Amino acid sequence: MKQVNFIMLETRNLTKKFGGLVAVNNVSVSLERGICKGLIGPNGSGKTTFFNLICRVVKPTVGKIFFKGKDIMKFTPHEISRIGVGRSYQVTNVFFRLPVLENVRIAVQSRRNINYNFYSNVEEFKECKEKALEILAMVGLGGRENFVASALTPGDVRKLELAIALATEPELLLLDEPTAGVSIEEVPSVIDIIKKMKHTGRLTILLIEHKIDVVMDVCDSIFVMHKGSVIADGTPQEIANNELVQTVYLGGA
Amino acid sequence: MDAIFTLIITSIIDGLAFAMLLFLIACGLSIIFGLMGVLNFGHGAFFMLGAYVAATLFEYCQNFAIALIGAGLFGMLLGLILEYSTLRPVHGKHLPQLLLTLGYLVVSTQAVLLIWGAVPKLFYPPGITGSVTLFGLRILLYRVFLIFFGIATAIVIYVILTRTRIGIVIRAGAEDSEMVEALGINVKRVFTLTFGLGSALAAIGGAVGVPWLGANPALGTNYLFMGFVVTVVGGMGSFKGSFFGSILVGILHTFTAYFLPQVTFLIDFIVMAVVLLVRPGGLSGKWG
Amino acid sequence: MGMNGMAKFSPRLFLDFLSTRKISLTILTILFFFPLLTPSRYHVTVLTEIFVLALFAISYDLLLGYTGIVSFGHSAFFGIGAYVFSILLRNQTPFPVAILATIFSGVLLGLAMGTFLTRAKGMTFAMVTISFAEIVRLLFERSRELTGGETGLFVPRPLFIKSIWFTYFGLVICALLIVLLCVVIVRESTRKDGINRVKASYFIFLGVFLALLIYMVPQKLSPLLEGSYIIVSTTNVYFLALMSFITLYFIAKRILNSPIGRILVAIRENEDRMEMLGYNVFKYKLVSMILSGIYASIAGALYAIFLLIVTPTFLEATFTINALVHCVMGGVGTLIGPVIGAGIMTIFQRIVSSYIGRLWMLVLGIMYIVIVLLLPYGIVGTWKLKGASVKKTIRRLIRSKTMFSRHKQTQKD
Repeated sequence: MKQVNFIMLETRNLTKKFGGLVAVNNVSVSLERGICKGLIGPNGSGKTTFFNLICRVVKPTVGKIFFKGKDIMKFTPHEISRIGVGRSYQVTNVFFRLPVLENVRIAVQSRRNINYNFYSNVEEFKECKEKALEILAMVGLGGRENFVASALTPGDVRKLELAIALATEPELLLLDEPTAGVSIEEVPSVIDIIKKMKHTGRLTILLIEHKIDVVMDVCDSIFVMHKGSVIADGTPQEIANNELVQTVYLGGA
Repeated sequence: MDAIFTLIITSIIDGLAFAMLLFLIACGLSIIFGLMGVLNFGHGAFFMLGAYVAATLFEYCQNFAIALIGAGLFGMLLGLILEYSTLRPVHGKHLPQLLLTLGYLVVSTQAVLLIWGAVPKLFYPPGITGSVTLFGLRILLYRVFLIFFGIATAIVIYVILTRTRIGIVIRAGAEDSEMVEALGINVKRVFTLTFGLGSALAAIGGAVGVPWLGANPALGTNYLFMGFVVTVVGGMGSFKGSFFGSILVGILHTFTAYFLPQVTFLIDFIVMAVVLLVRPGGLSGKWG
Repeated sequence: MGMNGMAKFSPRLFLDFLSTRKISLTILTILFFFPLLTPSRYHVTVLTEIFVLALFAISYDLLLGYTGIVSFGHSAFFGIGAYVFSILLRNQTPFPVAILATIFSGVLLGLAMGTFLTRAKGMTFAMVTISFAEIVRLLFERSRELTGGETGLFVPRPLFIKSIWFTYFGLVICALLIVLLCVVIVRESTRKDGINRVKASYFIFLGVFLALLIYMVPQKLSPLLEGSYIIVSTTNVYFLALMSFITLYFIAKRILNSPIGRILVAIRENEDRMEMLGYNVFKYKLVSMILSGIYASIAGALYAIFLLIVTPTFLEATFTINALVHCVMGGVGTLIGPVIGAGIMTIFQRIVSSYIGRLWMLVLGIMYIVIVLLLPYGIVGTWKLKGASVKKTIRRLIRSKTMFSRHKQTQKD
């Protein structure tokens, strides 16, 4: 299984129609293990729907999805998470009323075999807590673990999102606009976290972003969607020079 | 043979009439739920209060039209006031909303008991009461009136929902409230208006049901429950669902009551269970 | 805490633990001594009812407050638990077996209702549960042979309730609590950090309480022990309800602080995220329903013992609504909130209805609306949110005015 170009994720003719609206149109892409691939496109081009399809939150109308070579059409969202897919959300989706530490700790706990334990105090499982603190430190939220999640700045909530996604030890990480709503000063720290994740070498990352400079900076390759279809797929340089992309996306923005 | 035939025809007519009453409750309930996410327990209260207001008005002025319009206006006003004063502060928080509307139901049932007592009230609007014999069948005029009234109301609501701007906004919002907000429309006002209209509809339903069901304190809970059944069957947030759902539930309920009375109480649950099993989004396939 | 995940048990640690829970210990002692302290049997029965209803309210909170499931079918658990228990008892089944059967019925019913969860979400589920509860009620009302129909069934008193030995058992616990309390007091007063005003008032209160005990207990003890059958039974039912309530309450607290408890809370907070974290949310909701069902059925059985009769009233929506009100009033999602809510509402109901009779429900409804609007987190919930600042203010007030700690204050300067 350790081929050089092991395909982590592959979609074939993936299509999703909502009534008459075609959100995702015949998308066939593949992701090799270890790369960081960007997905850009104007609003409404189907990027988030694409993620929802991979996570099986939404059912495809047509097409197939393969994760590590396995057909995941019949899987439910929690099974997808179990086989190694992690996700962060465009609209922050953390546990707002719980403390920061608990947010990450519950994510860590999901991968431990104690989930039906109803008689021991949760504090006895120190390892979960320590791992959670480790991850929080890595994303730069160390020291704030006792804050309620709603008390964080938007940038910090983003970091919490990433921390939660990381805590489930995924092999494939789907990041949906991780810098959305983050103030300009905080964007570099978020990018740093993504770069750190890249450098661990154990993660394959698929990144939706709106900010072109982020994508150009962090990603090894990029594909572009417009109105549900993929219109370009290549290295950052190729995409920057692609005329179609420029007219559709960069030029218009 | 003849007896069964008569029974079948009577069942159909009664079933449709009952369906129209259900529709008047369920329509508002379903749309309010779809739009606001509020499971409005208070809806039953409006049905009940509408019945009592109409009965009282009729007592004083002997005019059916005034009784109906009065009930409708009362429902609308009360709905607007309640929504504005108590529901707005908790918009979006589903649990408090639900709890509040439950409170409305409890308070109104008690208020009714206090003001009007436990004895049911009835009135009979002249001209449409009594029966007519057609082809050897005895048909109760009021039931027929209910059917026409219901269909007419459904048509009016349909026109409002599809042709007027506010109607389109409500319908769109009932399916996707976030989108409506994104369009920049003052969602709070739409909510208040919808709640008021839905409550008015329920009140009219209660009013128009008095000659058949009477006005009694159990109306609130009983018909709220039926409203829930229809909403689940028809699909939350869908006008068409509430219409066809009411017909389905109304007819099934009446048929069971006439032919298999022992299982009447089970039939609502069975219908709900079957619908949920086969088509979880209800007839219209919508969750709301 | 010790190593290996197991707290090492030592008398010292235990006493330390008790010292921090002084207030709870005191309340527990008062509750246990209650039958000996009051002149009236009526008060004892009111408290018994409160314990049972509080247990039911807790079961409701487990579902609503901790997992976020809205259900209106809870009275089904209560009633079925009561009926199963009563029918078995009438057929001379031993008490422990009957209780086990009750628990089992709670599990089954929880599973049954849980299966609706696959097809019905949120509010739809709520509506289905209303329907379900109503059906169960009508079924029980109509089957005369099995369940006695509308008039219900008489519940025979379990043997141990009639026995004086159970009362002795209760009294032994009372004695134990008093001893523990005294030990804690002695320890506290000999500690090195001196006495401040709060502690002083606590000790005074305890002194008064002990004096009262010494005065009243001998008086009440003899009628109790030689007593009429009724007094013994009432006291025994009280002890049973109290002991069950306390045990189940602490079990619930333990469960909620365990890994699965945290999962349930997280599900309440953000179900979709939990799915995407790899948790099979449905299974956990099912666990919650089963747990809630067990608690509710036991509450039903206790209520049957209390009333000595079981009727279809047990299955009416009124019980569910009451539990809901208790939770809302006390604080949804805190465990002690519903208990306090149950206590307040029951006492309120008893007192107020004697004055205003039929207006009672109307007043309840209005109070309820007011609480939902003003105190959405309930009494305990709001206290937990704002309590920290209230406590600080109180502490500041105490510190600035106390005579005893002036010594300490000057030391700080």
